[in-house]
Amino acid sequence: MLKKTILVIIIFFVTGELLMRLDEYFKFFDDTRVVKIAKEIVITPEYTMMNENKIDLSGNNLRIMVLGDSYIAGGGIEAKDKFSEQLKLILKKNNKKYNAVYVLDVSKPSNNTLDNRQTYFEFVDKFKPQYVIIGYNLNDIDGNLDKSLIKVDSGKTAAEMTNTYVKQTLLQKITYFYKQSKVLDYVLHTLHNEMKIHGFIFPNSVLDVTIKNYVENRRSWQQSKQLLQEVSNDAKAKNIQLIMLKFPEIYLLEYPKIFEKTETTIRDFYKQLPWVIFVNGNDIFKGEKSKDYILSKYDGHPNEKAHNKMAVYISKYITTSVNH
Amino acid sequence: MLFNSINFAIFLPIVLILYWFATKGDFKKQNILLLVSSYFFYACWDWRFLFLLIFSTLLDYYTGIKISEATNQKIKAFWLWLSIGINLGFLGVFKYYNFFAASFADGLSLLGFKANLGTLQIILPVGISFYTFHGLSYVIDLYKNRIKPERNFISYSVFVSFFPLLVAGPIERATHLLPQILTKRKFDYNQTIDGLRQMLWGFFKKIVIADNCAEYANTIFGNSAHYGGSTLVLGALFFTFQIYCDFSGYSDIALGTARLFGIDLLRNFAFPYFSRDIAEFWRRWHISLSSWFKDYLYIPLGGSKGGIWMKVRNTFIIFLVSGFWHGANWTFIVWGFLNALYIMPSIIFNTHRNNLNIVAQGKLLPGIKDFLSIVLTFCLTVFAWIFFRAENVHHAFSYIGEIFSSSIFSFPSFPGMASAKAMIFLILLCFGTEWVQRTKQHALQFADGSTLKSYSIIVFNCIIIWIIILWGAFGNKSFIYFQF
Repeated sequence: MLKKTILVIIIFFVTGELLMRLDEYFKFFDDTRVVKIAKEIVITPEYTMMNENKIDLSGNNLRIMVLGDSYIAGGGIEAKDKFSEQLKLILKKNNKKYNAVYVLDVSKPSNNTLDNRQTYFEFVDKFKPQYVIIGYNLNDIDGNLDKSLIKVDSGKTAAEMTNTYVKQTLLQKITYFYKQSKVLDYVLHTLHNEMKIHGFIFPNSVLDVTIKNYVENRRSWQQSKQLLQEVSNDAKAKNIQLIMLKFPEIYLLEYPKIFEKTETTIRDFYKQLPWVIFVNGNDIFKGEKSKDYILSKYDGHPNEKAHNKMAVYISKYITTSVNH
Repeated sequence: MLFNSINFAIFLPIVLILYWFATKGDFKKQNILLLVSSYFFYACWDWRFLFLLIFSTLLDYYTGIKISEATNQKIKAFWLWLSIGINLGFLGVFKYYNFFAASFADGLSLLGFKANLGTLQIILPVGISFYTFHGLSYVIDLYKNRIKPERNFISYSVFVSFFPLLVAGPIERATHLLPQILTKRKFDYNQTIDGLRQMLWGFFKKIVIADNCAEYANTIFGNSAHYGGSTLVLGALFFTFQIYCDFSGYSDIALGTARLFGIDLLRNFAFPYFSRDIAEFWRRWHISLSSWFKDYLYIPLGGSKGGIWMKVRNTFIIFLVSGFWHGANWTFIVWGFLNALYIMPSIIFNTHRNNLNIVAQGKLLPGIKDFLSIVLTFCLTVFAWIFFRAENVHHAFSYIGEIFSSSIFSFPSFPGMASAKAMIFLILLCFGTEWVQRTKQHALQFADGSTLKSYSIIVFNCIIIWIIILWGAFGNKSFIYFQF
């Protein structure tokens, strides 16, 4: 009976492993499991007009530039519902002063702080915005993150993994095998996601290491600050109002305490840059429930409702300062 | 509580352990446990409607005893009609009030009168159509002296509210289920394994096929005005697979779950999409409802005894009532009417019992004639499902209108088309397995065999489990038939 049970368990895992590897090879079901998000800047009318020099760059028009990653770019939702489009609609409706309102959305999925800085300098003189909104995510520090610290979910660091096969002990071989397993990777990943949405962060997981990088003496945060400061200083020099919209972790709205220290660190940094409007996303979503604002259980991107909420919030800052 | 929820995954093992171990095989204690757990199962959805279920149970229990004790036919008939009246009254209020109010107002406005009857914000109690029909079959059977009254209220209540069948059937008969409730059940390893396999197949059909197809069907039906004919055909096909896998998946889970408790429920589906004519389709689709209507409506109306016109009339009545049973919407009535039309030639020419055997029995593939008959029957069914799925009759007609336009020759295209191609493989796996297993009670029913065979079965079961894990559409999606 025991022998048969063990055999059944082995058959079960081998079947799963084979299925996953076959799928990986043929990419048959790839689309059903992974939500694919465009990796490029979406070409909007504003973008085309800017390139064709058709935008009046005088003070008669209101020009807003939006930077950030997939969170602000509207990953997973329809283009018409994303932050920049909703903001444009609201501002157009409330506009009493300008001839036209242009919102240039140059956000791009996977962008980090370094990318945002590059994008800023690429477009700022072409578009001459009065406002620049940067959608900032905790993982935007990622470009500067010390990746050697990250352990794969409940596993070892990349460096340790490289050395694993060399040692050749039985335990190491088993560990190596388990590291190679697609099924275990999938199961652990799913388990990790499930734990994450209940507020439990695996030690040394990507999120855990990201949070830990937001301390004054960490090189990654220091580099990020330098990049952010460059943009802020340039904006100040060009009389551009910079709005830093710090996104909350939408799938963890019920657990703000996890991010308390990180928030304080970021907030303290912006206190030194009083000309920047710092908007903490947690204030926008205070008391709200994650399930109402995320795309799906395992995709923490903000949904249409979340984009709308942020657009309404940010539009108030702009409308108030514009009408003054 | 949904079968495809974490709650059920916790609930079922607890009840099973208590059922087989804590009751020490005493069926009376087992019945009490089944009743309590069934009420808990139902209350998880909305505890307020539990009182309606208990009232309905009490009503039929009491009127049943009164019918059996009645000394003359008039008193017997009084209690029967009291039960039928109150049961159908509840059904009418909860399920059909808004439909009648709106239709009456529409009718008056056509005649030039204005009427504002107002609709009510009524929540439809889950399973009301199913448990009402359970109760009705019991009192009618008593009236006809087919059974004796059940005087133990617990046993009778388990018959009405046994949780696997409580919310979406199969619609059981007292003659079939009550004797099982009143006798000692023994744990049977083979029956349990078979039950688990049937549940597994049900979960596969529901979570992998139905819920994934639902995404595509909803996208296409929800935006049908924007799509060409070929895409709309694809939408209708997705719904055809969705509704079968959703409902038959539910039935498989219900039957499998009941078997874990040592109870056999009535079979509800017998691979209907392999039918060679509409009459065969209706002998294989929602069998418990079709046979209920046959026994309690068609035959009392005279059945086929009064000549061809009587047969035609009664068939139309049965299908229209069946359509109306599904919901308070003209789309269901048109769907019923359409099916009555489909079956009419075989009724008139008396060929409706031509295909009583299993198609291509003993062969791997059907002959040309059988194959063409299956395809034709399937196409007719797909066409009828458009009415079933459409928001209203106008939507159905515009949907069909677009299908029969030149856009039918364009290549289908809609968001999600890329992943829909993978779904076709899963659908083929589902129906391929069912085709091979069409002589069995369910697709994962296997007889004992050699060691090699038994390990092949284990591998196949593992593949099904992994497909559910990897490609299932999770998220506690409800079953279509819960609304009926």
